[in-house]
Amino acid sequence: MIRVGCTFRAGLIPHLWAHPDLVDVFEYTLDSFVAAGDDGRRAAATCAGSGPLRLHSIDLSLGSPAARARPRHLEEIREIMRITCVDEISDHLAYSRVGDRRLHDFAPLWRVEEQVDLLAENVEWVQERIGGRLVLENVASLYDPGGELTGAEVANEVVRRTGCGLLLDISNVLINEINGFCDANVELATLDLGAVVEVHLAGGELVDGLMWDAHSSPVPRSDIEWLAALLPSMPACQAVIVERDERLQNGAELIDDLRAVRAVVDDVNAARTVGALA
Amino acid sequence: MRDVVATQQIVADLLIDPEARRAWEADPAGFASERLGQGDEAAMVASLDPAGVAAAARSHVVKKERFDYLHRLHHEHEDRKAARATGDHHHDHGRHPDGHDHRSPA
Repeated sequence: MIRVGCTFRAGLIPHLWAHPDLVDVFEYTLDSFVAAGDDGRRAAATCAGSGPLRLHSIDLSLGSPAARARPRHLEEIREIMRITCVDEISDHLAYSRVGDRRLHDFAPLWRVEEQVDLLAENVEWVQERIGGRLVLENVASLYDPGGELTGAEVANEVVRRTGCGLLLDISNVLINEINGFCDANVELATLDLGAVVEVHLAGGELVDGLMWDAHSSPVPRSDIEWLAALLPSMPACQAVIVERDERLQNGAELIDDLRAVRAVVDDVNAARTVGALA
Repeated sequence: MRDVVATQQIVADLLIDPEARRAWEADPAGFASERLGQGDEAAMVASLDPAGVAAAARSHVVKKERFDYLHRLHHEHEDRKAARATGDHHHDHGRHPDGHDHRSPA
């Protein structure tokens, strides 16, 4: 069964109290648990005890050598995974650290074979140390390094080499198309949908002609339509998550987004149930 | 064999260092070839869209400020907690699980 959920943000909780039927699962930022040490481990246990959860990491920097520079961080992640009984975590098809410098953002990958080699080696190395599977998310970007491969081809090849899963951020693909960096039809037709275990959706923000992945506004209708078209072809998908990190006071927008996603997911779950019974 | 890691170093310079970004904006090809030679690596760096890189640099600044603020709050909380536990009102809680401390660069 595919679950519906959203990012866990304290500011969203008051909006969700009146709609317990809309959220099956919360997605937590794994780095927050790790950074808080003992308090974080206790919080992770509490969250895991209160319902299904997914763990989203934001700073493994899988596209750069920095991915291997913090073995202690990976030990902490492994411990949080043990506490929460989770066997896979997500992070990004990007890099966020270069040497000891933090970018505080996801830098898009140069889509060349040598980058795929580095990425795949890092994914294998990290998976071994956390004792679980990585799920890799495509990112939105404000500039495009280009390369001979498409984003989908990079993702597919890393899946093939490492056995990792994919987190398809539909909104990020559409943002990259708006910014002129890809053809969403080609990306989504090429991507190995069988490897997708989670979907993200979010509303962006247009600033000076560039679309930002701001998680600040309603999910566009076009993104929901893409979800409806693609989700039936994702047999391994476990969750569809609406990301909302800004303008949390506008909770009604999140409720509308969750209702739209719920309608799509309910249809796909019902079709699967019928298919399983037939 | 293209040196992906070398390009990442230069891109990080462009995002973090305003002086490097200004030099690149003034002469993208010259800036890139001076640091990366004449191959594909330099061509990639020279071809990046200046408006996009400038936007990403602004994003870096905003997110770093937010990170630094939350990081400071976290350490203040940890210090208060440690002080309560020890009775030492000037307690320094030391290192994070990932090895950094109050004085580490963010």
